[in-house]
Amino acid sequence: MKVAVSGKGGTGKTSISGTLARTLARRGLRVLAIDCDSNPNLATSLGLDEELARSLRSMPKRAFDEGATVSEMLAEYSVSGPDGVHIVLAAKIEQAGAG
Amino acid sequence: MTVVDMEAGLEHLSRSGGTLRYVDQLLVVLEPYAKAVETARRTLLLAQDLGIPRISLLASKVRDSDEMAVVERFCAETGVELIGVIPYDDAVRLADREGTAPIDVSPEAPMVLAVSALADRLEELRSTAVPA
Repeated sequence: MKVAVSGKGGTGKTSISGTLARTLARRGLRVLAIDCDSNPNLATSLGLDEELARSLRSMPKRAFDEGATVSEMLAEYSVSGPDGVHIVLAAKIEQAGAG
Repeated sequence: MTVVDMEAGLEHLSRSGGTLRYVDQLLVVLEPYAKAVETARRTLLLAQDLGIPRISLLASKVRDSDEMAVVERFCAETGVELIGVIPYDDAVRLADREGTAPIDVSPEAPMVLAVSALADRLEELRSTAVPA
């Protein structure tokens, strides 16, 4: 199931998304959190430490055009955070990913 | 389960179907003040055109019954389901200030508990949904 969280800036989207991802992961679900903001800060609300958060790179759309699969992209670009939540930055990604 | 934190505003909805084409459930976050209500209204109009299977409103930073009345009026007016109410919570502001996660610094905070209730509801929907 893919859930997207939308709304005006400052309404609490990112805090809600991060807390929701952690909550679901604690219940034993496999959770992928995708930050689609071009000024990403979901990693902080997920509880990643600063160094790990800074190491995240945005997935280039070009790679999909060149035929990379979602799992290849996740293997290369996602980072595992607290409670096993996987996080990826995708400011310009067209596909919300698998799962 | 995939949780997608969208960019603020509407661009992701207007880009020819955009990023949201692939989601099963859209949560439109509604803070009870005029500008956020207007954004939610425009978001709903665009999202309803995209054919997203489920669209729900999620009230956020609700402080009192007057603000809850704003949320309820909007839900009644639009006919869109209210999937949850996240109260205003200083724990979130403190977590932001420290650069940490609300669930780590205040696991029993009202906001965290409200998100847990939202997770219950999403899990329910997930178990009853027909897989795509």
